[in-house]
Amino acid sequence: MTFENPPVALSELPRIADVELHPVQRSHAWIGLVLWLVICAALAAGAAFVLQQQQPPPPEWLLPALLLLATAQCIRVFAYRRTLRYALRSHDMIFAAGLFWRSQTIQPLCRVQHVEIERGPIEKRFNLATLKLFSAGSSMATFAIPGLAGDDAERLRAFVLDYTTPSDEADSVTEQASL
Amino acid sequence: MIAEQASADEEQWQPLSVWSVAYFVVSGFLALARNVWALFPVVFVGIQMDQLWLVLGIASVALAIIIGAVLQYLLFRFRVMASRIEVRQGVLNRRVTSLEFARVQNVSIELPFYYRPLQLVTLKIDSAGSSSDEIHLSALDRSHAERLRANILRQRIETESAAGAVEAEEEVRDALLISRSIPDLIIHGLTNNRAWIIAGGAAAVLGQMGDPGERLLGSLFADLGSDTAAALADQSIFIVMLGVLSLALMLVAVVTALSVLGSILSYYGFELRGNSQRLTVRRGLLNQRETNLRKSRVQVIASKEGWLDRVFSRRNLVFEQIAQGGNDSSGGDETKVLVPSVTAPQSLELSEAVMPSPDVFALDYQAVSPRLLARGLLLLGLVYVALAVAATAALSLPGFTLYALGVIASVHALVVFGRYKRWGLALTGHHVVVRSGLIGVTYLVAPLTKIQRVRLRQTIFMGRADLSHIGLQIASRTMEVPMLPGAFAREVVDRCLAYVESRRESWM
Repeated sequence: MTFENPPVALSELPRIADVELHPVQRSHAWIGLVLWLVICAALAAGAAFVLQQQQPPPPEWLLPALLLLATAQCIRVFAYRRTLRYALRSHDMIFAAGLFWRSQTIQPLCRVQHVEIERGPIEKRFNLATLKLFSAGSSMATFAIPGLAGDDAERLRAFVLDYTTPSDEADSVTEQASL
Repeated sequence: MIAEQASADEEQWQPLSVWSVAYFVVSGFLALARNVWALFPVVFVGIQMDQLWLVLGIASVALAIIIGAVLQYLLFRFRVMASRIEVRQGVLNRRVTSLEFARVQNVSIELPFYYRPLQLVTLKIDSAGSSSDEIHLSALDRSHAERLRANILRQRIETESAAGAVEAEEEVRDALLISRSIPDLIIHGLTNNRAWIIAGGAAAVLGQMGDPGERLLGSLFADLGSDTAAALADQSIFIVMLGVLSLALMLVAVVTALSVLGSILSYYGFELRGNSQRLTVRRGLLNQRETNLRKSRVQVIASKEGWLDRVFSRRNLVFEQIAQGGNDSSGGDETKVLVPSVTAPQSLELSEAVMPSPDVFALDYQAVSPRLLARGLLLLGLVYVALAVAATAALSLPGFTLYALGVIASVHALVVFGRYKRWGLALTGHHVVVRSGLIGVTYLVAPLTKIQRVRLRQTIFMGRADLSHIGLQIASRTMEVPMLPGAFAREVVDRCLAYVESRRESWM
């Protein structure tokens, strides 16, 4: 057996619980709210048009119930987007999110295969960007931080790229050969 | 000198042997058989048609496949360069695949049954990327294929480490790690359902068997049908139940027989060999297959015990490599190497031979919170109470159904309890081990170096009780354990991150 098991002093380890997380841009939540209001309005118009032509008129509670559902969805999107938080440490990136289900994902930078910045037309208009970090394996969704200010995203990407191209060449060859 | 001469020739674009037409014909028919459900309406119409048209239809499909195969052969070119292999192929969609040796994950040599008399083989080269990057060179001379494989393996190692010379020397003496005898494979067939191997090929095989087989099956079912009908007509309910029971037993027997057959077909002559860097797996009865993979590509070792495995005290050991993007069934087999039905000590020995591994049976595992049990039992209780209310009030079923429901509920509760007791996570200096299961126990072992990403997840309620799910993403799978004590989960995360980030070792 070449197997060994050295003890590690726990108090010396950096702890994720100590990290202070920054919220993403506030406009990201407002965009989500407006987007969903527009979607719900469009759906409501469509539903109203269809329901008007129903021969036995639909039950009276249907419309208020649908409105309630739509409002709840809009509020949920807004509130969820307000929970998004992230932090950069010198060796990894942390992303936390969730209202009822809260998750905290940590991506070590040395396992990042490639980096992507994504900006849709609306995001571009409000100078927002989504940063995506890809690692090996397809099981969990890609590590993505939406609602970053444009230049923050650029700086984060530069940091990650800088980190993933280390000075010792031999390591980087095998790291990048995988995908 | 001779080897250099040969490799210079291989840099030219070259066609496959004429015999590769057979390979393309077989893969054409297999593709057809795989999509047989989509063709069902056509087949249905075909049955009602004139026999002449039916024969013509089948003949034209067969002809189309054969013409397609000939075209595929004519348009297929490959060349072997210094550090990569390139293939041009395709009839309607031409495509050029270029595969760097450094990205090669497995190289396997297959001897399909229809090439057995000619001793021709198929060389399959898989990349770590998507399954569309696979390269299949069919109808190669055995020695040619061996030479190509040796070339690929040697160059792959040269590009990645300077220890090429040492490796080349060691290549000769791969030590036998384990082989499996026929009794082992029979046990494997009994404990694991390998009937699907037969089922997969059945579509094609049944077609070849033609009328006699169908008639046999038909008459069998006709007899059964008349028997059951008679029993239903004038026998008591006891006889009917006996009939159903014997029919069920017969079904189980047939599936088990198929499973044993499937196990022997795919694992006959199983041999796992290894040297300091590489593993070689040899297996198969009709289609012999020899696969090479690098030890460092193994991400997770899964030691799986099904409930039937427990009867024979065996378990399956699976070496998992990087999971491919598209999880399709055709190539999925290649990313995992399964060692069928080994004993517990053998499983430890083999794990140790592939990578330094902890003794999973002797570790202390952190148990999950009793809240998981409470939540499971609560949900279960709600469902069964609802069922009971529905059974009595709405459907007004007889009283004994309530007792039956009670029995089922308590068995279900035992299952929930068993699963809860099995969950466990252990962190050693270099490994993380997850224990799970119900009757059989499954252990997943991953070196900490292989961790890609970590995640903690909790609901608001779990947060109040300081509990957390933990998810460790490895390139081959995500290892997840529910409802661990928060302090422990955070400690695991901190220690995993510190290990990965301070060492920055390669995970491939």
